[in-house]
Amino acid sequence: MLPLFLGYVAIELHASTGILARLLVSLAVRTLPGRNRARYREEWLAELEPQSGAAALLWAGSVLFTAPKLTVVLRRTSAKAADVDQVAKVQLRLGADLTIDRVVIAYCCAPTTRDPIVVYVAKAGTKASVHRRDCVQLLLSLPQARQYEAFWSAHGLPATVRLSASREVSPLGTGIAWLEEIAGAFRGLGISARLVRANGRSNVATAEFIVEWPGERLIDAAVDSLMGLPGMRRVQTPGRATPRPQRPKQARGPDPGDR
Amino acid sequence: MAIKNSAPLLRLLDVLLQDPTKEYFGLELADAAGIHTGTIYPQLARLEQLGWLTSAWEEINEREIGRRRRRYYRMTGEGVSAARDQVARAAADAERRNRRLRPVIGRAS
Repeated sequence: MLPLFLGYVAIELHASTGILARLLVSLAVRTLPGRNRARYREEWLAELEPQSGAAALLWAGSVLFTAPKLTVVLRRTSAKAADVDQVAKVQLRLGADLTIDRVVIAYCCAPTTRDPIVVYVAKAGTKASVHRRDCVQLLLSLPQARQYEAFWSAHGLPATVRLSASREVSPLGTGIAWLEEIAGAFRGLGISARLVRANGRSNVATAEFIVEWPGERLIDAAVDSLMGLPGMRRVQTPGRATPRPQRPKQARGPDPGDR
Repeated sequence: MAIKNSAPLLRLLDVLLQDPTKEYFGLELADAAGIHTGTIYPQLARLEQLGWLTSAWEEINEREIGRRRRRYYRMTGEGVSAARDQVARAAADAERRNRRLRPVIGRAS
């Protein structure tokens, strides 16, 4: 009788592993930030589908186990996404009378460059958000009159560029003056830049800026201009680095003994 | 931009670099890289965050195919060069460590 009962329990357990695995996936999804839940629910359920039995249960358990780690990464990603605006990647086809100051990527559906998109204009002349065409929030709660068709641009230029500069600081305390010099160099070129972070270590100060993408030439000009500032060691933009300049040899002054 | 090396990350990069143009879904990548399945998603999210990977939904008719659409991951141009640098740096570090630990055979003085 007992083997029969155990066999029955085993069959029932095997049949319910799918349900249990889906439950674990749902629990894992709940730990993620709200804007990422829909994506990962769909992705994980799609990956759970071909699996069955203990393998499915183990897989779902491991997903639940690593969900907090994924949450940490996703929170970091969203902070970075807020820094790097993707304005230039979106080509808007809006009415000529409509001007948009700022375009942001919607957190609810987080479209990538390969998703078909729609732009929702919250208020003319201010902010617009880019949604996936199948975004649930867009379809259910946002007025259709304010939705506009949009396309990713083919060139996909970044709207902003990170630029970091470092120099030797001696004596310490000249950091603020240095940042003012850099700000002046940007102003001189008509480039809008925002200081992201500045730090000093071993008498070397490093500052990192987000610069609104002004075009390749102006970025080159900005790098040249910053390299011309006294004491500048290095100016970097993603993917390239400027070589350290040769310091001009200082002409030796007259020997005090000559007097 | 470099990220902290770990064995799962290097295995993942190794798989992705074998054919950088190929698109993989998460489970497929996990199987190919021999990574415990759940741990691959934080790694994939991190690589996406760095711009080394892009992901997109599979374009299928779910009713016709009879399964849910999958999320596919593919390396970006920037990602390929950065990942190659990362793997090369990891190999150089391993070589340096091995050299340091190599026993020297000689007579004790």
